[in-house]
Amino acid sequence: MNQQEIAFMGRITAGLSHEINNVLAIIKESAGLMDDILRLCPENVVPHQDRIVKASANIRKQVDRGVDIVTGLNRFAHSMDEPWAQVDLNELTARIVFLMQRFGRKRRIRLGAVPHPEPLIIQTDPFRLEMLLAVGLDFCLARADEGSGIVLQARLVDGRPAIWMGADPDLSPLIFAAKEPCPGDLLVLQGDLEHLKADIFDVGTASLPGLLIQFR
Amino acid sequence: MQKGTKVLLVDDEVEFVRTLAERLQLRGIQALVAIDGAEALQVVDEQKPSIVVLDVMMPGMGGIEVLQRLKEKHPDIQVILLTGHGSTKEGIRGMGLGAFDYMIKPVHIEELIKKMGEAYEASR
Repeated sequence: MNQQEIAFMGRITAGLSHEINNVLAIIKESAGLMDDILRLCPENVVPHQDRIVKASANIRKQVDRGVDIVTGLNRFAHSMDEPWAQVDLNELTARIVFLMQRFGRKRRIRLGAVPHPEPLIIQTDPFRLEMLLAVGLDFCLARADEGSGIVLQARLVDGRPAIWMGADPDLSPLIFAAKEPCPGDLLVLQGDLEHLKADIFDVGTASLPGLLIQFR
Repeated sequence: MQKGTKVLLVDDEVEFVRTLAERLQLRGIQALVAIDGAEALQVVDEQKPSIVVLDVMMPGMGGIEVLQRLKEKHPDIQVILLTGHGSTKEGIRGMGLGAFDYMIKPVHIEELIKKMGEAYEASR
């Protein structure tokens, strides 16, 4: 996709997610109003009052879930706004983990983001970096054992911002090692985004213990 | 915030704003409703609410323009902006233009009431 196509897709997705958010806001307020009205009624006057209260609570819970999803979708859509922008690696890793949770759940693999204590700001193409990380996570997911975990960690390596992607040692220290012998500790990818093409993850195939993406 | 405080809710999502107003009224807050910017400015002139809760993303006159016009004429009225998750920059911009604060939709009603209370205290 060229930049115009990416920006178009982002604009449409952002607009639709805004509309969905408005729908969720109306559902939330309507469920809240039902609760308010029920509270005004003396107990046992409304038939099945406790069941209605429970159903209303469930609606609100699902609305909150929907808002989280739509928020993730909206932020993803806005990552397509600009081809070159400042990105905080802490926010980015959290967002990618959120967006990829479903794929982790399908394989029964937990995904987590570990932030650096300070913001790690880089200049990058936000959408293409997200795509790269998603491809990297796909790569890790395909090689991880069921029941294990994978983390994305924003960190400093040699004073430079980096993202580590791999097994969470607390959850499952043998994710990758269990598959095949490891050729090395890390695959270190250095350079700007132009050098971090998605197909670089084809290199090294099944035996990597983790990936380190380091930024200039 | 005192019971009976007059609050204007401005949002083009009619169902949303009317339901929110009904909930606030149940809590003793006098909630008025406007569904576009022009109507909001008219209601402000006529009713002089203490607080305006204003959606940023509205067709026609957007929330930021309403805020600017409102503040020019009624600098003492406190404005709380409602933004979507993708428009928090507009919320921050609005604070630079005199808004008391901004909140992300959908809001929890108790949090909104708390924020309105803070805005009310700030205006006294």
